[in-house]
Amino acid sequence: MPREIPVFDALIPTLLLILIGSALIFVLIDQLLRDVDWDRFVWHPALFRFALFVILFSGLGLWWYS
Amino acid sequence: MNPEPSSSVLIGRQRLIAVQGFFKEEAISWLFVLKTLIAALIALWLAYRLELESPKTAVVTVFIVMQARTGMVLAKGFYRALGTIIGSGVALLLVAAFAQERVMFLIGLAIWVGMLTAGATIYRNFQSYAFVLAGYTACLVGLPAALDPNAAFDIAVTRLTEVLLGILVASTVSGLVFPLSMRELLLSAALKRFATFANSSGRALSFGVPIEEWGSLHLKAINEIVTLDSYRSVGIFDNPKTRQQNQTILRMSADLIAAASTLHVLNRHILRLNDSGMNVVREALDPLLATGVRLLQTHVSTSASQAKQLVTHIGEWQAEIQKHKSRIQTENTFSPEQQLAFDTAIMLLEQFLDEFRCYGRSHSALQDERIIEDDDRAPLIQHGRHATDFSQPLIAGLRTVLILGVMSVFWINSSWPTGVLALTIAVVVSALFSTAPNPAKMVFQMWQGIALSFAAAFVFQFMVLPNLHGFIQLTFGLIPFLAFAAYLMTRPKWGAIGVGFGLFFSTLAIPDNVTQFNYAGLLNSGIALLVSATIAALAFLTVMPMGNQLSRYRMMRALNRQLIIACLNPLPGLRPQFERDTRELLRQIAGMRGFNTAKDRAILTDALTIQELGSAVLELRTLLGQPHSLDATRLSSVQTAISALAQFYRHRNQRNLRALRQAFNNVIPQVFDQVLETKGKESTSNDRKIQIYLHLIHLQVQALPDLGRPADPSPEVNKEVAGYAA
Repeated sequence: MPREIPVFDALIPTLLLILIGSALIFVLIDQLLRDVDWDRFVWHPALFRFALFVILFSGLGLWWYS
Repeated sequence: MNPEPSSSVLIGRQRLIAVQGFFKEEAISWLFVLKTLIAALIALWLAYRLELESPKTAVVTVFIVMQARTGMVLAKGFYRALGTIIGSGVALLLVAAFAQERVMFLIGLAIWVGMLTAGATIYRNFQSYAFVLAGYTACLVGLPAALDPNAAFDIAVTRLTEVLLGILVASTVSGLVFPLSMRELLLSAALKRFATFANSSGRALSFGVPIEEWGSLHLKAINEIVTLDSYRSVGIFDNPKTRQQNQTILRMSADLIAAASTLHVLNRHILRLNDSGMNVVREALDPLLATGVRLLQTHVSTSASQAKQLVTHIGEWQAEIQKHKSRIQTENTFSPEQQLAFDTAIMLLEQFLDEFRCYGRSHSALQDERIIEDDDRAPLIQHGRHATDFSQPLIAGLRTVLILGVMSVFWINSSWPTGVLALTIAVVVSALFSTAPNPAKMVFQMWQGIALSFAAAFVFQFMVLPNLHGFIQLTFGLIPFLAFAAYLMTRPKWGAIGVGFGLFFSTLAIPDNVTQFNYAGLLNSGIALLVSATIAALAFLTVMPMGNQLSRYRMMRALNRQLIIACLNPLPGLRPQFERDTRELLRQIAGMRGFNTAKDRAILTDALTIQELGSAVLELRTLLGQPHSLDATRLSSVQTAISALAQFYRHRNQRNLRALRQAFNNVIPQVFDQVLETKGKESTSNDRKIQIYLHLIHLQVQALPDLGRPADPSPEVNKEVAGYAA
């Protein structure tokens, strides 16, 4: 897999695109979870959301580069 | 249920609570220190790991952004990122335009920084901070970039990366490690405001609060409302519920202000009832007021349910008043004046209670995590901008331009090697504190922080650092210094010393990726920092210091203008705007340095008069727009009276005052002619209300002090009034 891909002829790290992608997915999931009031079941909502994002981002990144 | 505890137990318990409170406070301070340390060290490690140009910037950013509550960190971080991005962009633009022309470059920079410093005084809280930052980041990035135009882009990108890294780490740590939400602070502040408001309403309704004391209560209330609003604007960053309830909180503040402004008029009226001629009215009102006054005065809101209960009780009391007022009316025989005073009291009281319950309801909605659905009322706009006189931003902007100019001239003519640093820091310091109520004191504290950090940096660089190997050891070497800075930051008295120490210790002492031991360099930088802070302090002390005559005069004029606006501007949306702007202006005037002399208390009573007159005029104008039975001639003389009022506040002199009194002396008998026609009608009819408001304004106008007469009972007040009439 390419480490950098050209966007309008400018080389951009693929990881950056993955970051943006996983942020978008995260926002979607977060919105869904908020609608069902997920906070009630979670001890530390901020930590939960942070962990969710880390899982998404590193999961996608590892999948892309493996 | 519980047996009454004995007094010794009670004292013991109080002491326990005090001790607990102390430890709770200390715990929050130490938690802050811990979080700051974690964030600073993680940021430093990441910056080394990513091989950024100067890792210290990330640490400096952590120190700038770190606050006790998560919401504050997120808000400050957000606006700092915004300011840094814009500032870097402008710096690049300036470099691109004037890379070879040093003078043109500095002029462009001065204009930009001056404009943004001016903008910062118009906005509040962190919005204001974003302005300051966008201004001085241009300086921070632009100056080194201009000296090395080929590397300009890299300098900007590196700075941006480091700052964003610091913000990211600080926000994450603050959100994850024992996060403290703004939410509880917001709720407890709202509850406290509710209780205080209930208590002072109780006092006002019982015998009235003397005007001087009322003024200081008013000021306190304004400051509390502003604090609540800043909690709201920050709280939306860290709690989804606060974000959802944004409108509700705005609504609550608006309801509170509406109730408070009626209470002003009511308080003044009840004070008048203490007059001996009004004894009959007082006695007739006493049985009506007794229940409510007791309820309000003894109210202590320690929980949201108590506040809710009070609102229910007030509702019951209001029904009681409705039931008994006609009976009391028939039981007593009043003279026309007394009848008018009685009707006024009842009308104002009913209006106040309606508004108070409205406020109570929106307050409960906030506490119960509900959202008010109000279709009938327009949504409130929130913006950080506030009313001010244009002299304020102008002075702040020009002062910064002046500092930049003086430092630039000195730098260019002396070819001082560390002149760039001195210039930058002078601009940073002067922009940073331009919105503080007492900037000179803050800069002086900052100066002490810099001096301390200078000494500490010496100790660290030449005694500690040479013995350290690797990042872990560096961490242990840094912890004592950083912890000291963070702990100082939690003490309100030494806050600026802590900030200064944290920022400049990090700047001076933290090694870059390639460690250099540069004795002379450190000495030069330290001296440059101290010189620049001194210059900034001198500028704050000498160039239009806070609370100077011109500012005071301009601000009082702006306050007077508010009444003209209330008299003449088109009505829709005017009332909330008037209430908000008068309060904001008064807050700024009172916030000026040295506001506590007898002259200032006169300003306070004057501001209260403007507030009350304005509310009454707005009510009157609203009533005139509704169905009433005034004919054209009467209506026009009411209009004349209102314009005379506006004219008086445009030019406050004896001639206009005489004209104003004359206008009201004309209109009062004309309108009160209709008492005969309206007699027997409902006392709350529009006609009666118009009479009541005209009467209230008339009384205020009569009470206005005379101007420009040599032998006057209260010369102090008049001198001041004459001062801004001139």
